[in-house]
Amino acid sequence: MSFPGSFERFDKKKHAREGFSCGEPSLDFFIQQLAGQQQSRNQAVTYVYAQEGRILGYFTLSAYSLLKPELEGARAAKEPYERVPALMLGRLARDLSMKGKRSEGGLSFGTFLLLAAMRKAAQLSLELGAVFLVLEALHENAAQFYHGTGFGFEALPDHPLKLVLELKHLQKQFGVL
Amino acid sequence: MFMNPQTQESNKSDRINFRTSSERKQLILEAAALRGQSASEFAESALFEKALEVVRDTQVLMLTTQDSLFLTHLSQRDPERPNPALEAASQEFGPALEIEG
Repeated sequence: MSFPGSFERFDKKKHAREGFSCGEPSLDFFIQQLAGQQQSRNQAVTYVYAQEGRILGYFTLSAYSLLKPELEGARAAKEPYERVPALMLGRLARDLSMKGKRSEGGLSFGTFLLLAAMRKAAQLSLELGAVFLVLEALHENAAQFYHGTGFGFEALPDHPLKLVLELKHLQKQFGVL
Repeated sequence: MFMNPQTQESNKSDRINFRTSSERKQLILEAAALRGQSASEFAESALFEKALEVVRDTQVLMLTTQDSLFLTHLSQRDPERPNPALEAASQEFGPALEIEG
């Protein structure tokens, strides 16, 4: 293991968020101002990777729904559910101090955060029922990062910054089944 | 005192000021005029609608027919398809990916 720290549920009292900077203002603002509020309302939960209370990276998970357009005839009978339950990986960011750091196997710290988010999502999907993990890429560059991991994220044809992955694959992969 | 929803909504005492380019301002004024609204009424209602949309988008996505067909296609693929990159990465980190507590 090559990154110092551990994953914990975000706690305003425990984790220093003021110094966090990832180079993307909206993501810095989120951890500094919104994460605690969203969590206390149970809108989205933030998980941080922290070392001695200092946040090195974070991601957020929340419940999400995919709504299908109205189906007709044979397709409606085959797919009677209009709403597909999903989990949203809405934000993922690493502090600039971790930029360029790699694991022994050559993986970036961002990839490490992503894997922990995927593992947690797989575990949650077993407990509440969710078909897809949906990931929101901030822009095309971010989407390229996710595609580049080779973990199997696919962009929706009409929403190219929304990437999806079936949770049943992750349940097996992470051995949470 | 009882306040009906309309009274609450029309209690517009807060202000928002923002800067824009003269080009955009002209367009905004023109669009407001087309709707028969003042620039403030127009801007306020447009911002309010946008804010509702942003909040709703954090919870729900309306799929297009294309999106929906694509998801069906994904779920019909071989569930045993191996993913070597994911396999190797999850092997490397193992229990370090677990969240405490």
